[in-house]
Order: sequence, then structure tokens, then C-alpha cells
Amino acid sequence: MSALGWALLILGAALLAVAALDLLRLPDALSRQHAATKAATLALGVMLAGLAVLQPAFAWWIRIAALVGVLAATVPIASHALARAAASRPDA
Amino acid sequence: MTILAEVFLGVALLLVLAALARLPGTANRLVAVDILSACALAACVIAAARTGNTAFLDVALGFALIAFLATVCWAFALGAGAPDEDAP
Repeated sequence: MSALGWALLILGAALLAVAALDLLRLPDALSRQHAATKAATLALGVMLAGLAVLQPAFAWWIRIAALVGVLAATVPIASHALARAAASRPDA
Repeated sequence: MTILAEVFLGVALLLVLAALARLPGTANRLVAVDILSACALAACVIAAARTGNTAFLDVALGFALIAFLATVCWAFALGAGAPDEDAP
């Protein structure tokens, strides 16, 4: 089980590196946000799943569930607000 | 082999810092700061996995809320017409 947990943590970190690479490769602010935010959210979810596999205890799972819930609720809202503000500017 | 998690996190941090230095305009930099906060959350998760201490997850929870508030505040400042030049 430990190997699976660490594999998920490494996969999540690699997805985060891909999200950071998106920032440099994509042409404008909206497409950067579109790709990078989704990749970063998936990366954090995969890493937290790996942590839940590594530490099979209730004290860990309730914190991981709270963190996943907070991320799933707040990241799309922040991304939407930032995309609206960027789209309203003439240079976006 | 488990050191690869930290290696990939370091690569992600370097790429985000390169994006912050190279990309033009306020909107691009706010997107980069958003990914930087995701990198900080990932660092909290890796620290929790390394030490076996749940306190790092509490730190990650608080930081996620603060990063959300910061991003929303900067987005409204951007929409209200923050300047777009590179002056500090």
C-alpha cells in the first residue's frame, strides 16, 4: 500500500509540473488559466488520494476530506472570478 | 524513488517562477500566483506524508482558504482597473 500511495504522490507532483509548464507554453491569459487551474486541482486531488492511501486512519481521512471539499468548492470560484476580470480587460 | 515527489515539486516551482519573471501583464501574473499557491499546498501534503504529522494538513486547510480569498480579492482589483504596467 505504501508503494501505491507514494506513486500517487509522485503522479500528483508531476501533474503540478505540467500545470506550471502550461503557464509558459500557452498563448494568452485565459487559456493559461483554463488549463493550469484544472491541472493543479487534479494534481492536488491525486496527491491527497495518495496521502489517504499512505495513512489509513480516521484522523487523516477527515482532514483529507475537508481539504478536498474546500478545494472543490473554492478553486472554481476563484478561477471564474479571475477569468471574468481578465476577460474584461482589453489586453487579455 | 520517493524523492521524485520533491523533485517534481521543485521543477514546478522553477517553472512558475520563470513564468512570473517572463509573462507580461497583471492577469498572467495572477494566474501564476494561483499556481504558486497550489505548489505551496502540495508542499504541505508532501510534508505531512514525510513526517506523519496531521498538523501539516491543518496548515494546508488554512492556506487553501487564504489563497482563495487572496485570488478573489486580486480578481476584483483587476476588474476594477488595477494598473497594467510593470512598476512596483
